[in-house]
Amino acid sequence: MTRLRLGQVALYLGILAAWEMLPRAGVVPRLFVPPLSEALGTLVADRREYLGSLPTTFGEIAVSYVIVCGGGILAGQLIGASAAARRMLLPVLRSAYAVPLVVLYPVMMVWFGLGSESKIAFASIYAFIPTLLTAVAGVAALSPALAETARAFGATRAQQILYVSLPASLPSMVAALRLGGALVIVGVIVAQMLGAADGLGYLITRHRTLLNSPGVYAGIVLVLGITGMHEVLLRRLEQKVAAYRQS
Amino acid sequence: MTRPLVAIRGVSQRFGAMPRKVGVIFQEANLLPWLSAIDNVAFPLKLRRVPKSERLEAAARMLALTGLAGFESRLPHQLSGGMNQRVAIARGLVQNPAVLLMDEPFASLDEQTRMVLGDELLRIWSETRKTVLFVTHSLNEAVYLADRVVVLSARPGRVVDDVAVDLPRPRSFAMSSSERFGILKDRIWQHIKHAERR
Repeated sequence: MTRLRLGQVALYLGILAAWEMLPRAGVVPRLFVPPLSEALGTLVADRREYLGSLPTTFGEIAVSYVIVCGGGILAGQLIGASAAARRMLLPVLRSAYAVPLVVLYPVMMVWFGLGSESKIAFASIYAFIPTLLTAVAGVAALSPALAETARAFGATRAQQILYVSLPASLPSMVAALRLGGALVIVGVIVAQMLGAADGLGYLITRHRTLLNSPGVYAGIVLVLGITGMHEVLLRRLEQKVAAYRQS
Repeated sequence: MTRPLVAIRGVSQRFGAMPRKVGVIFQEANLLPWLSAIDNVAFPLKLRRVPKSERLEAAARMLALTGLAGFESRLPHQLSGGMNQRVAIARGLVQNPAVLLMDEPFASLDEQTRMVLGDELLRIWSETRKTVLFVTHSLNEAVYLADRVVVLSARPGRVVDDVAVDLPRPRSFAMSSSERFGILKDRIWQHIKHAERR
């Protein structure tokens, strides 16, 4: 276990060291990948600009998060609980999932304008179906034996949902939350990169058009920070919720 | 769909309704994996909205009765299969039902655990004096545990014999090698030896 951990730490350090050393040694052109220290330096020097882009970005992420995770998980619970709904809707949802939804973004911009609404609309649509499918799979995989046992002890339909189905599906709902959240972050950043007047994705695109690589990578570092934080928080929540599964 | 009516000693119960007078124990323990042993035992009382202190007290008593005192806060995955089945028995008893319905409760356990739990069931029975309706495919289990063995044919399930087990109580392992035990077992076996299971 500790050996595994050490190996992981070494791997991370190796990647960071390569990021710093390879551009410095001239192996990778600095325009393509500037050294890590340069990207971090830009992030610190222009912190006002970068931090200033965060309220818009976080706001858009938050609203999309609520739409995707709230709506997706609720719909997933409802569809997952009914075999008929699953048979009818799952094939449709799966084929919709296969459509590259980025092509819809220009349409979103026409409908909702250049502001936050189009980012929220795109990120929500982008992340909704995978989140819903994860939630459906979690509910559908529940063993009917537990609900039957509860019924044998006189549980009403509402009690079966409240005391059995919901707690039993909690771990897979957190898994849906984790996936949905990660996709929402991607959706918002991508939408900002494709057309926006504010936000982290917009900053990255602007620095790219100016061929300012350290500026681009400073934004990327910040995006990595956000997704990393989300991942750590959700994994912790997942462990807490699924503690009873570890044997 | 009509629910089957079961009537035993004046207790009649339609299954699927509110079977408070019947404690059910299944082939698998079917415990809620996120609840501790005591919360699993208290679960039927929770469904009836019995106050928390009251239901935990009742559950603790049932766990002590089934030999699990000290294991109250363990989760099902921290207990062995036999112990989980003891928790299930405690849960079946917690509503103080008139009848305990046990549907092949020891079928998924190994022989040793099965014997031990059989004796445990006899001890619990002698302390609570519940009517136990016990479904089994084991001749030994049937004769060893029961006062009366009702033999059913396979498909359609008709009563083909009703055997009064006149072995004295308390039962002991030594009885299972007695002549009387063998005679009773053989009588049941003659009815079912031609019936293929499943």
